[in-house]
Amino acid sequence: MDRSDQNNQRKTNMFLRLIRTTSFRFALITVSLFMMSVMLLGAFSYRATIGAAIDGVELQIDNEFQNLQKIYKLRGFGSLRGTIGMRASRQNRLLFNPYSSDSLYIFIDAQTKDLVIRDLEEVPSEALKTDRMVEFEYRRDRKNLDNTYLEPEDYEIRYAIGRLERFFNPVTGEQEAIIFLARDISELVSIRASARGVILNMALGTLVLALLLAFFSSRSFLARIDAVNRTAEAVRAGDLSQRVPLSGAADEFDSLARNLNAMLDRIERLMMGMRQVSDNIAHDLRSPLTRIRNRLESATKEPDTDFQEVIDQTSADVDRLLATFNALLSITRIEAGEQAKGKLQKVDLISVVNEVMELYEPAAEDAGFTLLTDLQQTPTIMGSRELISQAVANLLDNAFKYGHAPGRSDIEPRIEIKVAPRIGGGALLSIADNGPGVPPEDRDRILHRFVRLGQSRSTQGSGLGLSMVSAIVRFHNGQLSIGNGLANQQAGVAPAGERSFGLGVRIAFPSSPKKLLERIRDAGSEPRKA
Amino acid sequence: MRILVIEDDADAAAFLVKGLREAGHAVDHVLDGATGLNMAEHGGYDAYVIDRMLPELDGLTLLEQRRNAGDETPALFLSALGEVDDRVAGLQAGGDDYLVKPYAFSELLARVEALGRRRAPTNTMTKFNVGDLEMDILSRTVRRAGRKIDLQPREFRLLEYLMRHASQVVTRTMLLENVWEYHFDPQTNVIDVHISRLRGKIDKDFDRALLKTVRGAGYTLSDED
Repeated sequence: MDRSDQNNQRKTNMFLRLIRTTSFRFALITVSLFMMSVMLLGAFSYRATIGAAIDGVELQIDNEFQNLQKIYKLRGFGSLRGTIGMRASRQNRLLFNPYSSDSLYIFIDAQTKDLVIRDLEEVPSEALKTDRMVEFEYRRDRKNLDNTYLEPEDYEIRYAIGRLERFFNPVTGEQEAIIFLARDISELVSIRASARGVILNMALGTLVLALLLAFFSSRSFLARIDAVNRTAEAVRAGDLSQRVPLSGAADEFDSLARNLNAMLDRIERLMMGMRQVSDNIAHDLRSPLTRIRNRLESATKEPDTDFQEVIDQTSADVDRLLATFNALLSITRIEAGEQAKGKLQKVDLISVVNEVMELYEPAAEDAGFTLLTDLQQTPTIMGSRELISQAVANLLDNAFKYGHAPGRSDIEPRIEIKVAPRIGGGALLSIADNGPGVPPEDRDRILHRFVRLGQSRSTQGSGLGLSMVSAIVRFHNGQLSIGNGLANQQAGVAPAGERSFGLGVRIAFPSSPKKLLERIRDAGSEPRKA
Repeated sequence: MRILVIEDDADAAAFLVKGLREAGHAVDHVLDGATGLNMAEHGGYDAYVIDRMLPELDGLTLLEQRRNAGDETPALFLSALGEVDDRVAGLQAGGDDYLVKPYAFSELLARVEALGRRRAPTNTMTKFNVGDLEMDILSRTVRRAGRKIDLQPREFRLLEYLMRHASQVVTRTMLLENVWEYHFDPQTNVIDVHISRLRGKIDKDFDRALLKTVRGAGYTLSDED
């Protein structure tokens, strides 16, 4: 198949799809209804104008026949014939006549079958078969009314309606005369023709316009559906970065697109997380496993192995692996734990922090840290005591591990835990140390799983502590920020720069929705001040 | 102790059964819930170790049925589901303890043995003694060799737990769960530090150490050597 065929095929497909769309079908129905109403309107206005005018003419003919019957009955055949003779156009063209020149007569003597008086060549054949009114064409010459020979350009085709009526002798019952009486309606006919044309054109115009409208509206409808489809196909094919384009019209399609895009954003984030985790698992679990395997292999080969030592080292490695594994599982579950949010309880941050402090205080003292606290009463937040405790514990673990300023015996290592109400509701929890800190460019990165900065690679740990904190904060709809901690230089010793601070981790918890509702209710129930 | 292990992973179960037998327990093992329920109905066990997800009849339903039948044998759930909600479900079904896979065998052994002891009426006891160390729950006093020892409230709770499980191995996780009510593992050796503080108070000035470290497992409070 060559290109133009393909193109044609695509066009045909496009056309088929177009006419199958809902909007196209809807448009078709609209078109039909529209056409019908245009036709009805045309029919009514035709009846009311031209139809009525023709009816009027018919009525005149009927009236004149009644008149003629009266004359015939009162005065007889001769008088009837005389009346017709008076009225007939040919003889009376130039005379004043109440029956205008539009009237056409043929008087037939029923005995002799002669056309005694005639305005027309003959009775139209349609009229012979019936007593009803018929419409017919006749020729009328333009110049000489008496001229019997007419050139084609000397006459014109006119239109008329008329009918036959028979006249019977009231005494003998014999048929004595037949009169054909007609009226010229050429003007009406030409108006009628143009009216029909107008109605037809209106209907056709409506059809064309409506079809065009249907075509374009379906096409834009299709184009937007196609945009969604293309995005869905690309995503299905694995390109998660595709998004449905917005038209900017802020209509239902845009809100659909926005919802789909938000959904894709979330899926992409989850997928990225998964990918990152599997990469990191591959890296961070494989190396201790390799270590274990090598150790076991060499233990079986070398004759004088201290098996106890091998076993102890291996157990320690396996325990670390299990710890990493558990931490990963916990993070995944916390991140997937949207459904657990219904079971959040009221949490008093101060008591949570005090309990964790109580657990960590002896260890901090042993490690040479001074724990400082600044705990202010905050609004109760909705959350999980267990998870918030774990976040605080992880941050303390980290501070213990990295909070020592290396080679600075003049600095007394300190960790400060603060709890404070947050402006605009909610609570703030921060843990700061006066250690070496983290350079600003690395601050986002340390929240990622398994990320451990250069100098910390040597210490023990999974690199999951902060990412778990981050997951816990997200679970609480809170915000986590990494910033400066406590000053790690004594005042006046060196100019204060970025690196003269330890690490500070700040968690902002949102105010509980219930609290907000209570506050709104309270505000509503307060007596109004004048 | 007679222990019934209901676990469908044959390898894991074989290891578990072997370890429990080596620790001196009589162990029966079945692979599915229906058989497990049948075995449990015949009775005579001191503890159940039940995997939550079992073929035929799941662990939660199994234990619920036993509890409804008036069986109060202590039970420990093993599960890969470790969220707080999962634990709560396990405890609501009548479980006495809940251990998340993967676990260290020493952890399981310590917990099973602690469960077996639970049958002894330690819950209602108000006085304990290990060697010459005495504890009175009601007056909240601790004495060793007649000498009063001052403890912080948390140290008191820590010692109380150790005393209720005297002569048993108590793991760090068990202490964290039962004394501090946390279900996560701190990376810092916080429990060790608390234990060493406690040791400083109850053992330091005496010849005989009662609070011993069990290598690779945890601690035990006992008068034996």
